[in-house]
Amino acid sequence: MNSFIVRSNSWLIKNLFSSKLNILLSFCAMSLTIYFVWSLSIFVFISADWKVVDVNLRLLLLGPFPKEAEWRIWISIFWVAFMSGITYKNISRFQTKHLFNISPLILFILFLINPVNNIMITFLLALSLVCLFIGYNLPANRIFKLNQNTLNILGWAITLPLIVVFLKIFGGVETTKWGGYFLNIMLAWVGIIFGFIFGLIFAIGRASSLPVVRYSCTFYIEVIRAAPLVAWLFFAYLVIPDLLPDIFANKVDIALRVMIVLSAFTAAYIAEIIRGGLQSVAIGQIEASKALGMNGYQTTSLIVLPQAIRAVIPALVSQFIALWKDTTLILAAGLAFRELLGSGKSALAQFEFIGQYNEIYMFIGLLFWIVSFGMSRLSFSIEKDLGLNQEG
Amino acid sequence: MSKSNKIIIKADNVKKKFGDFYALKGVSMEVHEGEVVVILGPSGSGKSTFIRTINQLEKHDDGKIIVDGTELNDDIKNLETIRSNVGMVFQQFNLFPHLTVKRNIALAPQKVKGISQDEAESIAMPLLERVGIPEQADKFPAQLSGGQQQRVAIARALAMQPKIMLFDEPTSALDPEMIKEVLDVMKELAASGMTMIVVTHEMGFAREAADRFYFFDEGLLVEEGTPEHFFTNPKEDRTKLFLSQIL
Ligand SMILES: Nc1ncnc2c1ncn2[C@@H]1O[C@H](COP(=O)(O)OP(=O)(O)O)[C@@H](O)[C@H]1O
Ligand SMILES: [Mg+2]
Repeated sequence: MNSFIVRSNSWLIKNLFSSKLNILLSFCAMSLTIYFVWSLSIFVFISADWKVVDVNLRLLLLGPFPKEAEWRIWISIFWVAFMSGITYKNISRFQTKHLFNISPLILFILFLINPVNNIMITFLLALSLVCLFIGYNLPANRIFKLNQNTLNILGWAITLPLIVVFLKIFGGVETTKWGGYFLNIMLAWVGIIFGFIFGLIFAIGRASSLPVVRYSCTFYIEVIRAAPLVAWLFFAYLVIPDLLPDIFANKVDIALRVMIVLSAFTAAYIAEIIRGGLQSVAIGQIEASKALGMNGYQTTSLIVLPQAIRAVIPALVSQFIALWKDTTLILAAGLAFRELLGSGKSALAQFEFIGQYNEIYMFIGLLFWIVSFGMSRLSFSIEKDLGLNQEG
Repeated sequence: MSKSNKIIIKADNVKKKFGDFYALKGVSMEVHEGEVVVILGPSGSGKSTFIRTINQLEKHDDGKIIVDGTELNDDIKNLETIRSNVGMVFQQFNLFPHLTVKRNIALAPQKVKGISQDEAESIAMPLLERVGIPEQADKFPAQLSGGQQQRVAIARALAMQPKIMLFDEPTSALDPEMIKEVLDVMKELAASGMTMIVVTHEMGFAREAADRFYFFDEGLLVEEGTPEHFFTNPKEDRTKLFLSQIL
């Protein structure tokens, strides 16, 4: 304890008070921080009236999603929690077992505070925690006789299709009824996965030795990047139905169109990011691989791409985070959806809550921040695992 | 040094140009099975370009190259098979930085020959013992010294069980104290009967291990002969000048 104090003292002196200027800057920064945290706390705990969030919680999280179909979302959450448990064990380098050992305690507290005043939801939240716990403790790789990495990749690869099945099976929910935070998550998820897959394809295509392939990929990338996302969303909403023959026009689901636009848009940017990564791989790597007798496909997939993608993980994650926040633009394009931000505006239009911007936007901000921060942490931990990052 | 009469590499009037510039202006050479050949020459004389035509990292523009009975030309279908019979060691090591030492060695056998991962990795350990660093198997290349990296690179090439090994200035990027450990591995390899073409300026090694010397200048093979010949009475002035500079 004593030595800790000494150490932290010297840390303080070295990092914050080493010169007059540093003392001044530290003082200003601390005052600002304290002021900010103080006024925020006052607002959050005293002056804010969270009733607007409480009453509209369902609207914010799910939009017009039918109540009787909520189980579909819960099953999806259970699965994601289960997969997270499996993966967490694998990617975490730190001994975090204790976190899971106190999970009964967390469950108990959860029931005690009953956060959303609804014992059923609390129970389901607890069940998700249990799924996480099971995933973490299950020797899944031994059960399925797969190595841990393959298991993770396979597991997450089937997650999205599985969720779509959960949502659609036995007369599921129309996509026009998707909404709120859930809609943002689905759109971003689809956009990230397909944006990445097609981005990869376009990046490789742009580096191809076949001129036709190369020029078409370049053309695609340049065209997509020439217009803002909002314009492409308009295009999906208004132009595509006019272009399609009448029989198809109403068949192509609007949500599907939005997902295609988000994926196609993201793919162009991802392609350029990955192209940068491809250029950073030394030519000697390709020569060494070829000299060993590996063919073009093996060289690209085993030698070049792993190094290229590693080099651009930070840029990729920035792009994913940008896409995550861009999912709110489907509102700006006037689509028939109410995602989180749109739901927030609906809530604010309710007579009794008029003017409660702060509460609503703070809550929405928090929800967006959670996912953005999670992605940024995930990228740090991946980089750390690959030995690329020393800080963070 | 256990030379046979079989000619395993035959280059006939090989030319290579980059743009309008001829890096090779017609080089002919015959290498017998088990022979150790050292190529000498000033920088830019075409030494690298020449040995890189032998595994077709550079396509030659003219002339004929026959490796182990197969002529290397545009019709060739299984370039990969030829390449896996010819190992190459580079000046800059070119180890795969994202793979452990063991995976570096096991990858090509596994993927090219289609054997299992376990089997491929069981090839890796004896090779690491052969080059003297079995304890580094699970490290990444960046954690190794230059000399160790180059020894891994040799082990990686050997894992494909090549008939021929090409070395392009394998010790030029090394700190002086690490050169010997790499040369020792190469000497052992030469003594084991491997056919080797080595571009190097390490005359001690060359004298001890080589069967024949070839001297390149300006894209041409200027002089060839036994090490004896080069050390005692080289004929060409350019050879003499070069040797006086490096010896
Ligand atoms: N890829 C290339 N493009 C253009 N010129 C090259 C290329 N590779 C080599 N050269 C030129 O060919 C000549 C021979 O090069 P190289 O074979 O590397 O010589 P050495 O290995 O004997 O030093 C040099 O003049 C070099 O500049
Ligand atoms: Mg060279």
